[in-house]
Amino acid sequence: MEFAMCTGLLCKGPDVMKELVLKFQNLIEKGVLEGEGAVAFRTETAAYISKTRTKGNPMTIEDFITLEDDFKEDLQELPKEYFLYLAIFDAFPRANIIIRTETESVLTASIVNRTIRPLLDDMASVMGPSLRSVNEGLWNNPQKIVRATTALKGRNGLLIQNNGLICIGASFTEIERIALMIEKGCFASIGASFLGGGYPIGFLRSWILHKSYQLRLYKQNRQLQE
Amino acid sequence: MTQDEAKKIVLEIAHRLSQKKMVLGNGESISQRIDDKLIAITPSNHQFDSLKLEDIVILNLLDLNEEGSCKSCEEKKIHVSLYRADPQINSVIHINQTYVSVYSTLRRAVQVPLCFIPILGEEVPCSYYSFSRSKNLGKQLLKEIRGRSSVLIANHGALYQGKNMEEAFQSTMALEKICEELVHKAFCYLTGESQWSLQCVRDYYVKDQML
Repeated sequence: MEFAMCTGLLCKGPDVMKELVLKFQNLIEKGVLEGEGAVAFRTETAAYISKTRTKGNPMTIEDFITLEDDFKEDLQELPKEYFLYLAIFDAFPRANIIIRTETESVLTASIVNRTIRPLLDDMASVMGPSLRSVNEGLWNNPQKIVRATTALKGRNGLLIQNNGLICIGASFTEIERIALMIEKGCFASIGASFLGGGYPIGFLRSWILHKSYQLRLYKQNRQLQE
Repeated sequence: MTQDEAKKIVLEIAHRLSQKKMVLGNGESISQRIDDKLIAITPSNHQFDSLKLEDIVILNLLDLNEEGSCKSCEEKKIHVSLYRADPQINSVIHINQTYVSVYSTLRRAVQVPLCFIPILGEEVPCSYYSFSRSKNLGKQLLKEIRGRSSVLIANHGALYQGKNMEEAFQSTMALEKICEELVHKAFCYLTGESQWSLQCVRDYYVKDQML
């Protein structure tokens, strides 16, 4: 499927970069993208990753560098997510956009570093049967990166200890929905724990909800294509 | 009521809920009765903040025929059942606010404080858990909401109804407020803190989960 169609972008060619940066900026303004995590996206021809972001500074095209196996930049200048994002783009052909966000509840859940089972059915449909968490210190460790990509399989999000959430998606609308739903789901886990703990949704039900959500997304994309 | 008036009411409430940050994503829906046969209802896959008048769908209560440029929301059947069950009901809202969703995961009824009883009644019941949009859930919700203004949907959110849109809107605000207070009070009771603060929440939750 054509890239612009998948991501919901209007521009093609050189303007696509400008529009992509605007879309990321939009995510920051909406509070979906918080913290200093890098973002990445791939077009039909190449993949790009942002350098480490600083809070309050708007994103520009100059903040992005090419994401490729034979990198030209100095290793020190690369964002820490570089190799993880490279592995994710390799392992998940559907992922066009990757973000790392540190919203309040997500960051709290990531500090605990435990798998979260969905308490809300919206959360189950978006993220699948569970939201896994991996230990920090994976950025330059190939084995841990493989473990992280495995933990992301069949899911759209992954918690990284003390580093918030990695979200993958085909379009900006999808990424926004996933990040907001996971934030709400993590908040539900935290809030319900004060009330004695909520009832999580069963594994099988979560899996069914997730598959039906994916099917709906696929149908919507096909309708867009037609 | 004319179709345009009903559409405007739906649109206004959608924007008000959006401004108050009560809605998230596109799993929510609002509808307003026009007459015995027609209702105005929000479309599917549209966010409330970007909703326009022309996006609102007119739905026939008898044969579910739709009129409009968009497809009606996926929860249309439950809206239709509520209007069919009680001719006095003119407005229905289905939203999943943050604190209401948190409370719904406990799968138990909310005991309403005295000051909110005129709006919500003595208790807001909670349905058992079932797949959203399933027939079982629809029947259960219909049974629980009869004679009330709201019902919690387990692990999901809540459904509200009213004689007019303002009444349904007030119910949404009241239930969110009650659930927020319940969560905050539970937190204060457990931690001994005087009020809810993000840093204390994080500290307590992390400590509690690590044990």
